[in-house]
Amino acid sequence: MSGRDPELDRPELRRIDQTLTDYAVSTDDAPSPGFADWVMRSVANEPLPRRGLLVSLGLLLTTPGPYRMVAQAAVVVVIVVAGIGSGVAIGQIDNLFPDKVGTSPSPLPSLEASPPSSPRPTVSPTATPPPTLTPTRSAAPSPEESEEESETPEPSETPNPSETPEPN
Amino acid sequence: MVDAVLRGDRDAFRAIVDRTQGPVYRACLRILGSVPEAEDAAQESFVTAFRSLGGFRGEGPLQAWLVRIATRSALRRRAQRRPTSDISVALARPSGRTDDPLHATLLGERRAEVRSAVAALDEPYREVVALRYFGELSLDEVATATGRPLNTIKTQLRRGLQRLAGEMGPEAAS
Repeated sequence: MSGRDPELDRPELRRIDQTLTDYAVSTDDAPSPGFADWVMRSVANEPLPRRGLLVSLGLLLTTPGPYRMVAQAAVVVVIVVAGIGSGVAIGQIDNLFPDKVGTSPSPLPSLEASPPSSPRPTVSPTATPPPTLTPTRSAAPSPEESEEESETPEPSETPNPSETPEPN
Repeated sequence: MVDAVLRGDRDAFRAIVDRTQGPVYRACLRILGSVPEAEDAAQESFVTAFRSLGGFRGEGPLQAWLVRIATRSALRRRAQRRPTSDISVALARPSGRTDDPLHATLLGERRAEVRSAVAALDEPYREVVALRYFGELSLDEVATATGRPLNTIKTQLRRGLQRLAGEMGPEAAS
């Protein structure tokens, strides 16, 4: 075993390689004479092994022979059938839960809920309170507004043109 | 022979055991260091192999597949036993080839140290080193048995040996 690996170029690796090789050589023993009989007695009551379906299919696919083409065709058919079946199953699930499927994904609620919540407070709260407060002020005093130049900030906050017509 | 066993011929399995019992047993002995334990592990490995013979895909030598089963079984046994067991194994069976008690004792301790160092490696280095040196497999056979690329096996073996060199020190080969 030693020296057969050109990868072991470093001295310390060669030393370990030699150590392991020497150890393996020094334990070059054989099992006791009745070992095989003992093993056969142990497997005597075991059920006979059988080749698994996947292993058999793999062997058919890889071993050259008359059944190779048949096995490859069978695999293609199985894959196609499985694909169709899974598509149908997904479609049925989609039909079972039409509402949940449409609304359950998290992006939709988060997208619909968040935009209205942020614009509306900026528009309607400032729009509705001022109409109740400022229109009464701005509508009535508006004729007198020339005197109240100091309150320009308040009217400037409600400068929305749509609000002044509303009280009218 | 595998096909014969799968067709119901149990005697064919006897032929497999006769042909491979040597390397399977030695792999177990080199990991465990005890003859009774190694025979138990080898017997258990053959029973496991018989049960799962249907899963053998014939991608490599049957012996390499069996040695891998045995190596894993022996490493598992070793991990389950008490830490002091290896010392007692080293003292109980130092060597059958020397008459010098002192030399035999030192040799036994040295062997126990090698076994312990390999067993203490992390995976996948432990398995690769064990298959290569204790299981008597070539690098190609290790690659086939483990299902890993050959270059990966070379890298893992190299790193495993580097770790062993750090663990066992410069006097490893003395």
